[in-house]
Amino acid sequence: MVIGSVVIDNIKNLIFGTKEKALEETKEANLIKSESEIKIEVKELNFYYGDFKALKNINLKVPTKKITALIGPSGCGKTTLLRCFNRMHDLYPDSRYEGTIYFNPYGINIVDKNIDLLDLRRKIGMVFQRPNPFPKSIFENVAYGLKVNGIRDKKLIQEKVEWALRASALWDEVKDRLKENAYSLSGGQQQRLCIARAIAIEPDVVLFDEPTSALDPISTAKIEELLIQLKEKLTIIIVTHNMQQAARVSDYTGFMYLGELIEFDKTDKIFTVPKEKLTEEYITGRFG
Amino acid sequence: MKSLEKFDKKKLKKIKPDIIFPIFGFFALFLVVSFMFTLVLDVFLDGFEKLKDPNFYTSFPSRFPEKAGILSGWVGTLLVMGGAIFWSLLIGIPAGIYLEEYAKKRGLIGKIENIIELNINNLAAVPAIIYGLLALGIFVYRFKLGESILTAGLTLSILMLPVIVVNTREAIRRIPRDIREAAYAVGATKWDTIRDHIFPYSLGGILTGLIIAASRAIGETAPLVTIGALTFIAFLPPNPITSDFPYLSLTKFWEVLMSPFTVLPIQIFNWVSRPQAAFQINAAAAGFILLVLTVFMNALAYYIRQKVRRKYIW
Amino acid sequence: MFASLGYKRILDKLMLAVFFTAGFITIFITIGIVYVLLADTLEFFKEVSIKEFLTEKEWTPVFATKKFGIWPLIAGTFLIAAIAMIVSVPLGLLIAIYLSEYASVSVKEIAKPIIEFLEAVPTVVYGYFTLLFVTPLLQKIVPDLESFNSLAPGVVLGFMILPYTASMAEDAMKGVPQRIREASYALGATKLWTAIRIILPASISGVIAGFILGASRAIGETMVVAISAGMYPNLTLDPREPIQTMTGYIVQIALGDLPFGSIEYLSIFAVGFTLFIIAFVFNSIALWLKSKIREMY
Repeated sequence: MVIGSVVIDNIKNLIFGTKEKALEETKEANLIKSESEIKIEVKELNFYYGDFKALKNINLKVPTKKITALIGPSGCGKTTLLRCFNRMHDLYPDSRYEGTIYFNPYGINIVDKNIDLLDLRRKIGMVFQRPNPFPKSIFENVAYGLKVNGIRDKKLIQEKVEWALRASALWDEVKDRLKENAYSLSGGQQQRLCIARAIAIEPDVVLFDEPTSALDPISTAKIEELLIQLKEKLTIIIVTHNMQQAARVSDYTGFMYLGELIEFDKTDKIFTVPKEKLTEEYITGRFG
Repeated sequence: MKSLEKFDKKKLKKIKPDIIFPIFGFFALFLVVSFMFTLVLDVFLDGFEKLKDPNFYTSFPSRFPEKAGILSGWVGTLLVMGGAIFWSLLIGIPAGIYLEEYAKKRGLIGKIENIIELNINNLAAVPAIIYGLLALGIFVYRFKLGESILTAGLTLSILMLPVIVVNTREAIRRIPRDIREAAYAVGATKWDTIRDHIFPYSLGGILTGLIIAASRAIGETAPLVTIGALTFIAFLPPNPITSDFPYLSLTKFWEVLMSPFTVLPIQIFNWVSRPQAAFQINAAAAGFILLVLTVFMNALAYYIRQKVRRKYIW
Repeated sequence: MFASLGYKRILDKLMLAVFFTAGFITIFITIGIVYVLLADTLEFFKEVSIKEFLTEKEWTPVFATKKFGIWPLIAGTFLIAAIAMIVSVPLGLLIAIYLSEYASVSVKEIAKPIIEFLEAVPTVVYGYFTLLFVTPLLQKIVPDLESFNSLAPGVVLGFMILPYTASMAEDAMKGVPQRIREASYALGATKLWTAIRIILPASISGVIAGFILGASRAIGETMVVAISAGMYPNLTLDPREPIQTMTGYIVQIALGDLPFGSIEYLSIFAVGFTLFIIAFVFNSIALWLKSKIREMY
């Protein structure tokens, strides 16, 4: 039986090749680029919903293992931009990308029609606005990403789940109730579970789409603390409507308005000496 | 002051019908409830004598009303419904999932999808007897499946199909977008998402639809009359289960599928049509059993729906 | 850490094919219906002219001198449907307005399932009830009511289609936004005035869609009429006489042993085809009306 499965695996590899291997190879080949510390580079990106141009000529460099925040009034396109990075728009008809988003160190263009979305989403995880755990057990929630990515080794899954829950600062609260339904957790715990779910497959980047907008201040503080811990291992892009949050947690900040990236710089610069008038007006609360 | 008084009087006049109308409305509702109550009571009282006779459940139909029973009727109903449920689920659930999860609504495929959708809406409104004609023309005469349990199962499955598709779609639509996105975001394929999330979370709703569809099909008479269900069956189909491995004889199973049959509603129809009052007692008794089955199934569907709603509060 | 997932991509495509096929099969059912009805109807018209079918006033396929005029069957069908509507429309409207505008939540919670259940009752049980309870009851009130007639099944069908005429109408009225109701009350209108002059007109297309679907259901209903209306094709408007409907005729012929291709066999397809077209027209109108409400709000 064991020999049989090995043979089958080999045949599968022969026939389908291993995308994973390919990615690892390109990683080495592009090592020089990654030294430049740019994880994602957006160049002249336009995005359309049908005929509506939602993103206009975006240029942006997301640094590796830093927190990059996107701020701006609602409807400015910050979430739309975020959802370009893991091609979430592809789930719905009538979306169209123009331009490029380079993903280092793999040297691929994220918005290329032909790239493999499963591979991409394994490398770029996402945490959503509202906590959205699956109505399954706490353990199953975290293990799900591992399972759909073909990991069958139960011991390895257990290790990874524990690691992810510890990294999301949830382990001590849930270690005795891993079999309970995820919806028995509080809202803040649910959101940390979703973070654990996203990081369990060890992505390079995690996208956060207003992760604390549905949470109370204490839970929000916990998540923010967590974000700062996580950036040791990951590149983080966070969309937030809360300027104080951006100022508290992020290293870089981009201000967006009406589908355009108005200004992008180090967070302290954006909040103290913005170059653009629009940014200044938004920061000082004159609109938004 | 005078004009104000006048105004008040007018207002009083207007209020009056607002007291009378609810009385009429309530009376109409009362009429419907008593209609239902009378129906159930009438069938129960008429058939009471037979309902308490255990032989009624274990006897074949007979020329003598006092000896006649519903054995072949309920066995036939069971087998036919088994087939109908199998076929309708086989097509209905995937069709419903396709329309909700895959449909692109664009290009040629989008046009086909629109036709499928419109088509299912129309199928739901086709008179049941038309399905009988379809089955008679296609299954019985063109496919030569005969007037068999297989034909009957296929016929009723077409009747159940639209209900199952509609309920599957509604159940799936209740699952929030967030849940799908969460699955895709960790690298799940569409099929992963359907197998691990969409299907399990909508199972309750699908089950509700299945039970409602089955409760309609179980009382359905006209399409089965059309395909030529017999009314006088004094034998049971062979038993396909064997004592040794693999515990199922395929040849016998095929014989079951191809055997002629009767079902409870056909038995009732046959008994009602006879002039002797004694047979009408049998009809009432069998009718009451059918009614109880339908009530039970509808109550079960209602119960599951409530339970599911409480289980998944998104 | 991760294994090769090539097979998953293949599986994903394969399942798409499976799901699409299932959806596509449902189209074949309709094609099958239309094909069978059309093929055998055309065969029928080789032996009976369309002119006879549409102009002859008698339907006597089992007599020695066979005549194939569809009108007696259509008349019987519509007579029963009309009686059903006369019972069902006022009753349904009363109940719909009452439930949507007056009744308390608890009354609604009990009333709705009972009304919905009217459609779940096996029609053969309705047939029994019509023949052996309603007809004898009506015979005490209506003189000269024969034991097979169109009045009793019409009345029973009137109740049977309440899920459409009452429940669907109520759903349509409930769909009228609360702000419209409040605007009317704020002007000092009474509940009844609001219900009849504001809510009903606003939801009229949905209410009528329910009526039409109900009528369509009554036209296609088989067992109640086969059991209690008689088997006598009769071009009459007298609800006391026995008649035969299109569905009743199909049952009558199907009960006998019909050889494939015989004129009787073919005739039920011609009748079925006529019924299918009528039902299709009714349903299309109802669907169109329903889509109109969706446009409104």
